[in-house]
Amino acid sequence: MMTSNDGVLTKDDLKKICIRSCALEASWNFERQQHMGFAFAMMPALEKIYGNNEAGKKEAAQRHLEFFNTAPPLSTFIMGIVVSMEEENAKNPENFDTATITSIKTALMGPLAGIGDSLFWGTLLVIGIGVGASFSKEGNILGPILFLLIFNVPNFLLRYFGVMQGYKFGTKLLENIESSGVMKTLTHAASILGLMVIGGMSGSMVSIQVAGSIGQGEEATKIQSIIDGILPNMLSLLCVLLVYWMLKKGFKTTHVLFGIFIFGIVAAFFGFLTT
Amino acid sequence: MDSLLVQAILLAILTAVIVIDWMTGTNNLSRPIVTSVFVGMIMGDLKMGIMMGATLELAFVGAITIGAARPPDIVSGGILGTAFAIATGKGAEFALTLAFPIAALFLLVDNLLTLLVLPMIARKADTFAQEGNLKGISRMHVLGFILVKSLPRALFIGFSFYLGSPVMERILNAIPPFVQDGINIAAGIMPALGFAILLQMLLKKDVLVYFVIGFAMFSYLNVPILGIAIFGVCLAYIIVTMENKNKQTVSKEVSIDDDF
Repeated sequence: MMTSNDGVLTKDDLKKICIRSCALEASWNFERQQHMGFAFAMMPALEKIYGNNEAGKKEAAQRHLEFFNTAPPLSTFIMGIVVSMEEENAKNPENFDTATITSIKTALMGPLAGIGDSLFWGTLLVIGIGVGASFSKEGNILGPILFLLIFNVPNFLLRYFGVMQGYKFGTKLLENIESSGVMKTLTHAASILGLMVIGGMSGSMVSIQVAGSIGQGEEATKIQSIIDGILPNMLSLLCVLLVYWMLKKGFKTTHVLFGIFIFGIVAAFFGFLTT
Repeated sequence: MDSLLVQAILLAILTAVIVIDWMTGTNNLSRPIVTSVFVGMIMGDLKMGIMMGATLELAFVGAITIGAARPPDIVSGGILGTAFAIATGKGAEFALTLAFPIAALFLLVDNLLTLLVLPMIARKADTFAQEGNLKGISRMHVLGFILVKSLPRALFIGFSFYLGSPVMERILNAIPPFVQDGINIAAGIMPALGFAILLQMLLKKDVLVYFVIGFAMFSYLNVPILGIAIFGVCLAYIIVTMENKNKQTVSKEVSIDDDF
């Protein structure tokens, strides 16, 4: 059925990913952020790729419910690459290491979030507001219209080209996958990159601050700055490692979730952490 | 029905619909500069609405979603700010002082819902994934949007407009500060759970060192994530090239062409 090197996905399937990517942020949450949105965009493609392969389908669905967060306009590039990898995995499961898919996703989401946030929220949004507000101030309806156009023409163009280019790039990357050692190399390289990015993001996206200071008056030193002097973001790292350890020990994620919530309230009540 | 009630209901409906922003490409439909047009229509003064949109948008311009930081609830702030400005006729600054406490109160409600309720819906999606029910996952995504992002906000804005700012401000002041701080602290820590789940999949002894490198680069050297990724690509290239060279001395068949 799927013997040739050509994938099962057509251009229309990729367009569908592009359209469904628009709902990426609809169920954003603190824990895993855009994960359901990512899965939502991938669903029809996964359904088609795995067909009657129930086990493969289940694994893929679970894989794409893991943490994901990037700049929405650039998300489809990642989706395009990922979907080409899923295709390869369905075709050639004994030769494919699925951890690579997660590594690649992770490796790309952080950098693209940086680029996309500064391009869209840092630049286009500000330009849009500047131009739009100058018309709106006079009560001119062109204000909101120009505002939406300035932001959204690039937004939707990038979504379309992103998925097409991502898929092309992914397919090319996997071209030689059948030859010996290539998959192993790819897996190793992807996990190096993925873990470096996730290491950086553990510092940048988990925030925790100790309140209070030692000493009095002008002599006072903030406890947080003492901690930063030893290892900046030390507490963020500790949080990630502690939760990682708890999950390894078999704690349920739901219990950890409520645990963090209660910890936050208690910490604020006794005032040893601050925001 | 009195016109206040009608306006409150219309504002609630507008809110429920306008947040499709996040369903249709994060296209900024819910920013004040756009919502003010519709609020202006509802309140019977389109021109004033559009003008208020500019003022409020500029007031909120610093509120940009970057990384984990969350801005004040700009949707309710924008809609109520415009509505109060037209209803009271006392100008933008006065309207903002009325709208701000409400936006702050809703941020609290929204944080609580995104912190606790959405992850519960996500767990239902996890169950569907284990069963291979892909449609179920998509349904949970949409359900999460309606139950957490759309409906509560709509009800909140409707009630706030109807009851008026002083009532909502009293509610906000009745909530002890440690509850607000606690929710924010928990929200700051919560991504740790997402990362930990991810690490369960990726972390192995022989690659642990790269996690440490990434963390140290960010923390000590302040390298942005994009920079870390560039170093990561180079490092990965160097490492796999060296590994393959070592192997090649054993067997000459392995090709080391462009993996990245």
